[in-house]
Parts: sequence; C-alpha cells; structure tokens
Amino acid sequence: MTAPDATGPAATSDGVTAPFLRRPAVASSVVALIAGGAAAALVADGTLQREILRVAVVGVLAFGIGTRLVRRDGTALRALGALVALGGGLVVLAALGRAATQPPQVTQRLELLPGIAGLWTLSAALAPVRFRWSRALIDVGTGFVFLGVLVTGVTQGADAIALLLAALATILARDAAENAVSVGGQIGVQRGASTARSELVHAGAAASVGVGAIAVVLGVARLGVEGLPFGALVALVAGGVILVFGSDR
Amino acid sequence: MTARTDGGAAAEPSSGTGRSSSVRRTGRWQGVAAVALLAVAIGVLAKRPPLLLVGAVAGAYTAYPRLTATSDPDLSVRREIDPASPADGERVSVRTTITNEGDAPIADVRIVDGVPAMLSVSDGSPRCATSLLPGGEATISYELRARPGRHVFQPVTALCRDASGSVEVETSIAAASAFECEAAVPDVPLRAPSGHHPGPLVTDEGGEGLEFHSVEEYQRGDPASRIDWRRYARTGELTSMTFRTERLAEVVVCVDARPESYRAADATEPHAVALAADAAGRIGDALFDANHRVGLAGFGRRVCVLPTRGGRDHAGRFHRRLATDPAFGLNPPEPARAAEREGGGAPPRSVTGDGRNGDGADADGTVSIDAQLSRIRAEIGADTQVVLISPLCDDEASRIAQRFESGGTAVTVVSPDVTTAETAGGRLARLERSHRLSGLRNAGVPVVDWTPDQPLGAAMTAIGGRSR
Repeated sequence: MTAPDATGPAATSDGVTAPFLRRPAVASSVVALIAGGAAAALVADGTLQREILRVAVVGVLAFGIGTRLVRRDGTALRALGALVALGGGLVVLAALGRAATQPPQVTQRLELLPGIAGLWTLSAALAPVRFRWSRALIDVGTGFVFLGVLVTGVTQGADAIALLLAALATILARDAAENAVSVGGQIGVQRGASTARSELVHAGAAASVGVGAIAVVLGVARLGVEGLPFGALVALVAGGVILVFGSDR
Repeated sequence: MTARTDGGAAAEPSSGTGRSSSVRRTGRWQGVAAVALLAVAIGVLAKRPPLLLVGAVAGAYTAYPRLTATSDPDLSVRREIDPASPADGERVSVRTTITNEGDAPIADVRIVDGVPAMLSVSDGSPRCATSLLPGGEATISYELRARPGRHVFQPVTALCRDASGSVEVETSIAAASAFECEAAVPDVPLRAPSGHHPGPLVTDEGGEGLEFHSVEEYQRGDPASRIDWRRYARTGELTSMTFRTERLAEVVVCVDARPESYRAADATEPHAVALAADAAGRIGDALFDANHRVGLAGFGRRVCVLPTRGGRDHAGRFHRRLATDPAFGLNPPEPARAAEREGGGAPPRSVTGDGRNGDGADADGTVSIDAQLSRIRAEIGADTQVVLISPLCDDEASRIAQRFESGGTAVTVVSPDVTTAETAGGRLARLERSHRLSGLRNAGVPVVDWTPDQPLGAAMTAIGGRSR
C-alpha cells in the first residue's frame, strides 16, 4: 500500500544528515546584487529609465529568490519558487522590452539595456541556475553592467562622479559575487556554516579601497587637469595602468 | 606558524604540532586590468576624460592585491568532545575553537574541521568562514552520530585569504583528538573448510566436539565414551556418536582499497575504504576474541600483507598495520580529489601529516592489481580463508573475489553499500552492484550486504546462521 508512494522526492535516508550545499553564499550575493543595481541606477538617471529599472530590479529579485527556492527541499516550496521565478523572469522580459522601445533617445536605451540584462544574468549566477556556470555568468553579467557604464561614459549621459561610482559599484558587484561563489564552494550554505562575517569584511575592504581610489582620482582631477592637454592626461593614466600592470601580481 | 592543541574537557591530550601549508594565488583581480585598459582605450578613442578616470579607478584595483600582504597565519586549535565515550548511535557534540595567535588580523579564514573519516555530521556544519582579529576566536560546533570504533579527528584545514582574496594560504593544523565508541563485536560468518588445529570454528565434519553431528556404525578404535550405549541396549548394534569438529580458522581480512573503491554516497558520508578499514578492524577483533588466527591484507595503490597468527601481540600488530599502512590510506587518490575540487575549489576532505607517498613506489611505481593479488595469495596458507571487504563498485571487485575462490581459497565478501538512490547514476550503480552480489552468490561465495547505517553485526548474522 505504501510502495507506490515512492514518486515524491527521493527519501532522505534518515532525515538528520545535513548535506553539504554548494551554493553562492547569501551575504555576498545580496551585496553583489545591491552593488549591481546601484551601478545600473547611477548611469540610468532619466525618470523613465529609473522607472523601468525599478520594475526590472523587482523582476530580477523575484527571479533570483524564486530560483533559490526551487533548489530547496519540499514540493510546495519548489512549486512556489518556480512560480515566483517564472513571474520574475516575465517581469524582467517586459522591462527589457520597455527599455528597448520606450525611451525617446537611442542612447538612453543603450544605457539601460545592458544594465538590466547584466543584473538578470548576475541573479541567475547567484541563485544559482547552475553552480558550475556561476563564475562564467558573473563575468557575463557584470560585463554587461560595465558595458552600460562605458556606453554612458561615451554618450556623456551622466556626470563624472556618477560614472566613477557606477564603475566602482560594478567592480564591487563582481568582487562580491565571485567571493560568494568561492565561499559557497568551499564552506557551503548549509545550516550551521556561518560565513557572513568574512564576506562582509571582504566586501567592506574592497569598497574602502574603491572609495579611496575615487577620492584620489577626483582630487587629481580637481587640481586642474582640465587645463592639461588631453594627450598629457592620457599619458598619465596609461602610464599608471602600465606601471600597475608591470607588477607581477 | 605553530599549531597547539589543548585537550578540551573530554578530548585526549595533544600529540604533536604537525602542519603543512601551501600558498595559492587566486588571480581573481587579474581581469580588472583588462577592464581598466578597455575603459582607458575607449576614453582615448572617444575623447571622454571621465572614462579615463574610470580606468584609473579600475587600475587602483589592479594594485589592490599588492596592498594587502598576507602574513603567515598563526592559528591554534582546541577541540571539545562531549561525551568522550558515546554509545552506538548517540549524538556527539564537537566544539572546535580556532584562535588567531598571530599579531596580524586575518581578513578571511575558512575552516574545515577534520571530521573522522568514518562519521557523518548529523547537525550543524564542520565548516565556517570568518575573520579573526589578533587573539580572536571562532568556534565551530556540530554534532556527529557515533558509530562503533575508535575515531581520530583529522587535521583542521584552514584557508586564509588576505582582504583582496588574491593569495590563499592553505594550512592544515594537526589537533589530535579522538573518541571511542563501544563496538558491538560482530559474529563473523566463517566458511567451513579450514585448518586442522582444534579451535572454535564449528564445522560440518563429524569428530570430536560438543555439538551433536551424527551417529555412525562403530569402527574399531572409536573411543568407548562415544559409543551410544542406549542404542546398544535397545538394538544390540554398536554405534558411535560423532560431534561437530571444532577447528581453528585461519582468516585473512582483506581490504579492497583500489582507487575505484574510494566512493561515497554523499560528500558528507565516509567513503567505502574508510568503511572497509573500520569493518576490517572490528572483524579482526571478533576473530581474535574467538582465538582464531587472523591476518590482514590490503591492495590498491599499495599492497600490504600481514600473515595469520594468533595472540594479543598479533592483534596489536593487526590494528597498527590497519591504522598506519599506506595501503589503507584514507586520503582519496589524486584524481578523485581533483574532481572534488572542481567548481568551487572545495578543500580536500582530509589532509594527513605525511602528505603524498614519500618513498620510492608512488603513482608510477604502483604494482598492478594482479601482481598485488598474487603476492597476497602467495603469502597466505592453503587452508586460509579470506574475508574480502569491498564495496563492489566495479566488475573488477567481483572478479577478484572469484579469483580467490577459484584458486581454492574460501572467500566471504563483506560489502559496504555506498550507492545512493538520489540520482539516476546512483540508481544505476546500485542496480549493477546488486547484480554483482547475486553473481557472487550464484558462484557460491557468501556475501554480506552491509548498509553502513546498520550495525555490521546484524548484517553478518543475516547470513552467518550456520557457523559458530
């Protein structure tokens, strides 16, 4: 009578052993998504752009949380998660459609589209859709967000400080997401494995370096480099990058 | 760096400060240089100064790994185990405390406690990641489900990263503690034909003994005490009773430790070789208790043979060999470890102090399985029987059992079941294994199918009703 009941999820042998769960760590994932969202919002500063982005962020979060739920145990949770993820995905698609058609100028569309696509990819990486793909998806996702930043820089759609902060937020998103995968792969997210403290310390250190760098860069810019010929500025920055590159790490 | 161990409330005192460490560059900030160059290039081409500034900020991150020098981490480990001698199946709570003894803070330390190879974690997690100020402590607490036997904790693996995460120092800190769980001695089913010395193994042959075997016609020379006088009084026939002969068995407990056997149902479960080594120790104990002559053999990456002998000294030798011989090494072979590392770079489950095979015959020097088996068979006597412990993960394992059997050595196979029904591949492996079991049984080899969750003794008595 009980035999045909074996269709449910495979019976856990005794239900007490907590298996090692290899998922991106939660704290860093949240930090990464916040930073990614901030980057997208900083470069998309039109009213309509912001509105579309808000919708997209809601969809991205629903997609990420739903996908995370799908990977939990329990049929009800899974079904709920699948529904939420599906709804979130549809919302993101709708936002993408709006971003591709509604803003009056093409440049505004180009600023917005990569950001939304990148955020979606990032949430797919951190949910994760598949743990093995996570690192690749993170690179693609943050790459898209950064593409949005570059496009904005070219179209001059945002002032320098917003642009710098957006670039910083993109780098932080990449760093936190990569750290989430690294911690999740080595320590896991099972109950009892606490990781939040080291993740937050890591993200905080990276953020403080970035804030310091921006302060220095803006300070140098305020010194009146605008008076310098453009070529000199190029040579300065390129020289700095090559210097850093020349070091072995 | 030093590693200290303080005996906790219930832990055994420390034994040495073994450690090993390796430094790994993660290269996780390398991509940012390309980003910086890209931003600068686009900024130059489009003549946009703000993009140059973006390039400069990204460039600062290429220097970030150089700002955070990794110090040599100096950690110590303290472990408390409660209760110290649990009963079978009881929960054992373990509290492992890691202290940063160095002067520098460690931004990111990931700790994996060396759970004894035979035990699975029932609550909590033996892993954690945290950051430690100088003198700071982190405590991992989790519960293990005790299994019979003596369980030694393996070294704690600590992965220390600097704040940027570009350098990862992996150290393993030996903190020797152990606990013991009373083992219910299994009743080892031995097979009938065995040596000629009198001993405790009850055979099916008639002769001297305690247990009634049969009545035979009297033959000259039969001792008068065995004549069935009542029957003589009743019928006038002289008959003599025989009893089941009791013999001394010579048994070699043989562990299949081929790389193929390092399989586990789940990453948190002990692998089959750990189960096999544990079962070998308990079977050995049971046989020594019954005064049999016991030997030990193992094959796989190395071969190990300990000839059969009786006595307490030999029992000690048996356990020492089982614990220390590289043939029974609990570290999975390298390819399996590489597979474990893929994806997130999970640290290996266990890191022993002596590291890789130090002496001459390593990976390339390993002898083929056939040569190893020939050596085992050459060392064991003609009347010796073999208890082969193998998870039967591949056809080679059942072929080995049949080779023993066809060579005239009686074999009993004890097979820990490490297959799982969770995945399609696992179900296929389970099906294949059950085919191998029935194939062996058809070939006349008794097989003990042991599910590691159950006590070994119960699985043994399931087939061993006829002996002892």
